[in-house]
This record gives sequence, C-alpha cells and structure tokens, in this order.
Amino acid sequence: MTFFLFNLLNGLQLSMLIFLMAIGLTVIFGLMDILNLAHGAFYMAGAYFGYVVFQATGSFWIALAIAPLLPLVLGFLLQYFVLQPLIDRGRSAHLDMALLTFGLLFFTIGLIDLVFFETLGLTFMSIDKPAGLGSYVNIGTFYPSYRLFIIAVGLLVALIVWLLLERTVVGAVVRAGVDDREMVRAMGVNVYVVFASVFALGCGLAGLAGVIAGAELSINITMGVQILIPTLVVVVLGGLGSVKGCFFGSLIVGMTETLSQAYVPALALFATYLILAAMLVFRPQGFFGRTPKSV
Amino acid sequence: MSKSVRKKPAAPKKPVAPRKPAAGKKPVAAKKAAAVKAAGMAKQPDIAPLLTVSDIHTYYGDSHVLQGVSLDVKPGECVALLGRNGAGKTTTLRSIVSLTPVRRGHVGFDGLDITHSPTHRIIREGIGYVPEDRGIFSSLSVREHLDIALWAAKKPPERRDEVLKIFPRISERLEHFGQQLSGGEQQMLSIARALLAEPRLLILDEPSEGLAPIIVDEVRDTLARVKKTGTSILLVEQNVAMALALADRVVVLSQGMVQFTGTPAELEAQPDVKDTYLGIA
Ligand SMILES: Nc1ncnc2c1ncn2[C@@H]1O[C@H](COP(=O)(O)OP(=O)(O)OP(=O)(O)O)[C@@H](O)[C@H]1O
Ligand SMILES: [Mg+2]
Repeated sequence: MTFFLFNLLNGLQLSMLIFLMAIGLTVIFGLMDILNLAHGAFYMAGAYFGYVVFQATGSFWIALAIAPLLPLVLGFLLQYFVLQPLIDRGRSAHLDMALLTFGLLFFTIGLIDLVFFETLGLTFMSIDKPAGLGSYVNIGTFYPSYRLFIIAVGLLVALIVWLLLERTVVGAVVRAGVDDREMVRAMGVNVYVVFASVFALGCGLAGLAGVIAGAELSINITMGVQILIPTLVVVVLGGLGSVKGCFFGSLIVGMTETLSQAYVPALALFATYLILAAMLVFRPQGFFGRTPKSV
Repeated sequence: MSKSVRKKPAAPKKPVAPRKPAAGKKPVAAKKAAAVKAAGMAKQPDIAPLLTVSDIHTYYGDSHVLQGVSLDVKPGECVALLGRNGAGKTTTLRSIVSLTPVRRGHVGFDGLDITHSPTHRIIREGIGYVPEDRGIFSSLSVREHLDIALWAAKKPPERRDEVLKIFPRISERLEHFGQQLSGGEQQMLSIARALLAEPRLLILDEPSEGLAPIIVDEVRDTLARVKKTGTSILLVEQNVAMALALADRVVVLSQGMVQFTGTPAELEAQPDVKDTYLGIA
C-alpha cells in the first residue's frame, strides 16, 4: 500500500511537471496553429539560467523567480518578430512551423553544449533544493517534500491558468481565437500583441518547469527532448487549447509512465504510446477537444 | 494608434478625400472612381465620401478575383453591394478591412489611407464588420462576445446596456453560448457586437442569409434604425428586395468588376442590368 502511495505521488509529481510544459504548448497550438517544438528549448533555458542565477545568488527562490523571465522574453521576441511575420507572409503550414521550431530546439541544445560543457567544462549540474524542502515528510510513507512542492506548484498554476482563461476578458479573447482567429481581428483586437503575450506566458511556464526540474532531476542537454515527448502526447490526448483536457492528459501520461515503470517495467517503454495510438484511432480531437471555427 | 496609420507612406496621389471637403470642390475620389463614371447618376459633389474604394485588385493565389473595383460610401448613406454567387462581394468587403490583402488600388476611410493597415487598426478607425458566417464563437457566452468587443473598443460597460436596448432578444440570452443561439439570434449578436464600438460605417455580408422571412424583416428594421442614427452602411445582399428597401445607392458586381452604380430607382429603370447580373427581371 505504501509502495502504491509512493508511486501514485511520483506519478502526480511527473504529471504536474508535464502539465507546466503542456499547457503552454496546447494553448499556443490551439490559438496560433504553431506546433512549438522549441518548447523544450525554453524548458532548458529555464533550467540553465536557473542554474546560473542559483550559482550567483545561492538562492533557489531567487532562481525560481528570475529564471523563467528569460524564456518569457525570448518567447515574446520569437513569436512577435520571427514566427508572426512568417505567418503573415503565408508560411503558416504546420510543417513549416514545426520544422523551424525543431531546428531552434537543436540550435539551443548546441549552444548550451558549447557554453556550459565545451567552454565552462560543467558536466554534473543541478540546483540545490531550498531549505525546508530538502528532506522527507511522513504521510503514511516517507515522501520527499520537494516532490510535494512540485505537485502544489502544478495544481496552483493549473488553477491560475484556468481562472485567467475562463474568468477574464483576455482569456475570452484567447478562447475566441481558438474558435475563429480571423473574427477576433475583425473585432478590433490587436492579435499580434495577444498572440505574442500568450506565447511568452507559455514559454515562461516551460522555463518555470525547467527550474523546478533542475532541483529534482539533473540539468543536462537531453532534458529538453526528454520532456518534450510526453508533452506532445498530452497535447494530442487533451485536445487543443483546453485547460481541462491538458490537465487530465498530463495526469494520464504522468501516471502511465510512473506506474508502468513500477509495476510492469516491460511495458514502460511503450505504454504511453499505446494510449496515444488508441486515442488517435478512436478520438483524434482529444478528450475535451472542440472542433475549432465559429458556429 | 490612428497616428501610425497616417504615418504610413502615403501612396502616390492617394485618391482619398480630405476630412472636411473644400467648398464646391469635387471629391478627389471622383478622379479615379469608376463608380462615378459608371452611370453619371445623381451625386452630391460637396459631400466627401467616408469610405473610398478605388480600383482595387485582389487575388487568391494566382486567381485574379477583384479586377478594379471602385465604390464609395458617403456619411449617413446606405450602399448595397449586389451580385450573384461568386461575383466578389465578400472579397470586396474582406479587402476593405484587410482580411484579404489588396494587391493594387487603394482603400480610404475618413481621409486615411487604410489599404495596408492591419485589420484591427481599420476596425478601430470606426468600421464595424459583420461577416458572412456571422463569426459567432461557439464556446463563448453572449456576454463574453460583448465583453471582448467592449474591451477592444475601450468602451465602458454602460455602452453594452445602450446597445442591448436595440436587441431585446440578445439581452435575454446573455449567459447562452454561441452554439445555443438560433440563426437569427446569432445574426443579431453579430450586429450588436459590431455596433458596440459606435462605428461610423457598418459593413454587413449577407445578414439575411439562411433566416426565416420574419427574421429577415427584423434584421431589416434593425438596420433601418441604425441608419437613422447617422451610421453609414455598406450592405452585401442576395436578398435584393431587402437591400433595395434600405439602400440609397446600389453597386452591382459581376466577375470582380463593377457593372452598375446608381440609385434603386435607376436600377429599376434598367431591367437588363437586373436580368444579366442579378438574375431577376
Ligand atoms: N479563399 C479562397 N480561395 C480561392 N478562391 C476564392 C476564395 N474565396 C473566394 N474565392 C473565389 O473568389 C470569387 C469571389 O468570391 P466571393 O466569396 O467574394 O463571392 P461572393 O460574391 O461573396 O459570393 P457569394 O454570394 O456566394 O457569397 C469566387 O469565384 C470564389 O470561388
Ligand atoms: Mg459572399
């Protein structure tokens, strides 16, 4: 029983990390039709910049507060000055955007490798857990308190994003944009600013996930690709632009990966993909997927 | 915001009339506008047009859809743009608000060259756009539709109450989602939303399409009231009777070219135009 509880919490912890990544990806895809594979790069930017800030200040909390700002700003610039102008010129096919952002992901990996490994010679990097979150708490089983913290952050972010999307005008604009982007423009909304802001927030959350992961897992150049794959599965499972779908999709993927590893290790490598394949066959629009376009 | 529109390098000799017309001077638009040449109809030369479309050419890929369309709408005037399926009516409206880019020619609104301005700036200059499919968001409530419009136009919430007075049926359905509305309600919401920003020009693309006759009458009466408030209207319609009931002037389009411009009475006097381009004798 305690073994099960332990794994359940691990699954929840992984789910929340994946959720922080997937929520940005799914809203960006739903709103702008951009499959931003560079999302993994923004996760890495958060982790590595978090490491730098942590080394400079010695504080996890300062790193957590400051590091996501780098991917946030970079995300805004990328969308506003690179992707949107390309879209306006007609380069908006899914494949164009996916290839471009995929290239950006590997460019980032190369750049980070050049700076941190080739130049600075850093190999084993991580951010120290903050005081008070470095030990275990007894909740029927001894469980790392930092992982409970990850779960709490994920739940809190999910709540805030949901409130922003469902309870504010800008959230309504985003949902309207997922339905019918053109009509939002025709209502006098400056979609360029809205798009870039949403893109930036998504990248900022990816960066936040990167900092948080940097204190639990190790910081290395494969981390971006590693997290990107389950994240993409969540986007397919949850349906585009839906917080609810993204949340449950993250739970399914996080739990499947963790529980299959704990109980049926032989299945672990492809359990998630079985679910993905089944989803694509039986419900390609995702759990909560809406058919986009206005009525 | 409007400043930056003005800053745009003015196209050489833009055929856009000044805000305040010089007394006795013909509208600059008259120089180029084929609309004026078309039939030499009754014109009021001393009123500068609010909207001037001059010789626009619009393409979808390689297909040359608008081949030099010119028309204008004067302040307070209702102009009906008629034509058969595929004539280019929707494309003309989309070109005006830059949803489909114009390749050649100019669009002027209230003295500004808006040909290449982004859509949201054009809308904020004072144009309300009611698209062909009504543009209602299926998963947003009626209230949210109006909230977005208020937000985009930077209007206070009281403005919503003003507009809802004209649309009682919408005000009873504030919490309904777009997909729960009937066609007529969707059309009314689309018009109400466009009017929230107090546009000087309302552009509508076939508002009567797919509606029961009694609802069409309701839409017509609503537009008549809007017109009475001094708002200019550019109305695309297949329902010729409804359009002629509202219009001060009619522009007939066929294969991306203007075939006739004149008053409803002048159109009545030309049965061959009605027959050839509208399919009614
Ligand atoms: N997105 C598009 N891509 C390619 N061609 C298009 C597109 N939209 C319209 N067309 C073509 O452009 C021409 C004009 O179309 P438009 O929609 O402007 O006509 P319309 O007068 O509004 O017709 P309707 O009365 O059916 O709405 C038509 O021949 C149409 O097939
Ligand atoms: Mg049309």
